[in-house]
Amino acid sequence: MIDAAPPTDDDRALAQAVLAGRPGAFERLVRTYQGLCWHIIERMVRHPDDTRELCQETFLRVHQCLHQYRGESALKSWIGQVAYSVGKRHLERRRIPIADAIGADEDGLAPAYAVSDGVDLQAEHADDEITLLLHAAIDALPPLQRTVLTLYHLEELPIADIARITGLAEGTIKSHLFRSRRQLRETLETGYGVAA
Amino acid sequence: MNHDEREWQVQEEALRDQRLGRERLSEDAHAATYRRIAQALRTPPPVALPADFAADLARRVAAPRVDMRLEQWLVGALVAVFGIAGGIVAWIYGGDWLGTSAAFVPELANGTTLKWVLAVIGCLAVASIGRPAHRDSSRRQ
Repeated sequence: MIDAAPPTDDDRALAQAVLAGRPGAFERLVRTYQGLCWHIIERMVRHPDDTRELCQETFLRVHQCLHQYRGESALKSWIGQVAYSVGKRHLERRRIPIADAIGADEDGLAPAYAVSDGVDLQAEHADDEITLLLHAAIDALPPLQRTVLTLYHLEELPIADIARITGLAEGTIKSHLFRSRRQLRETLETGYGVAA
Repeated sequence: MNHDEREWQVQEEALRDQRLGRERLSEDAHAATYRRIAQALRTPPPVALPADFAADLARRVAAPRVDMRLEQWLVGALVAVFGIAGGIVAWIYGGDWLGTSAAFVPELANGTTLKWVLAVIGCLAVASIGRPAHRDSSRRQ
């Protein structure tokens, strides 16, 4: 899962249809990629109203700049790149840090993102509860780490495509993936006492 | 293979197992936790976009195109009306203007007026040279 996904004929055909102003083409493009857009932006901003607004902004920008898509990468990756830059600018405007420095605080979640004290660490290890706690731990990760994990696990994008979307080196993406997953594992195994 | 590389392999194996729905015993102590993590990460957050999101956006990007066409047509019509009106006014009053202008030319030739006219032309020239550079720099930003 390292190499970038190549563009398909469908990608190029859809982009051409939108550029030619064919009826229904842009709507089809939005329908195809609105889930991807939501997953990226929601993971970054964690606010449904802001996410909706930023998804709109993303697709308006896609429509405006589609002539710049040269068909060298998959359309999914190109649209993901636009969504990521829209989400990132939103976080920067609000002065929300997008990532923890790699290597910082490896032993647990950064204090600013720590799971709330209301979590009962002695709770029974029922499956549902562990899943809930795991989701809380994922939500507690910094925006960049959450987004990288979502793109890799949920959208099944190769590391090269994630690097293109985020503008980071492939090694950095791999490092974020490794450390975030290890952090989640440690949170489950030590913090909540989940047996491996 | 060092410890981190081995753990990376366990993470990737758990991801593959989870995708393929494979349940198997692993020698690694963390494999089960990583499978659980992979499963949680595969759960999509609910997409809370309105059902007509795509159609609404398509309407929005299509709408300005129609408005712009109408606007351009109206601007063209307005320019044509002004042109025709200007022509009629020039045809009616042109003779008088020509006479007044001819009388004004010798005035221009003398000292103070000529200096002011040259100063205004100089200002306009400087402004027109500076404008493209400013436009380029603001486009780059």
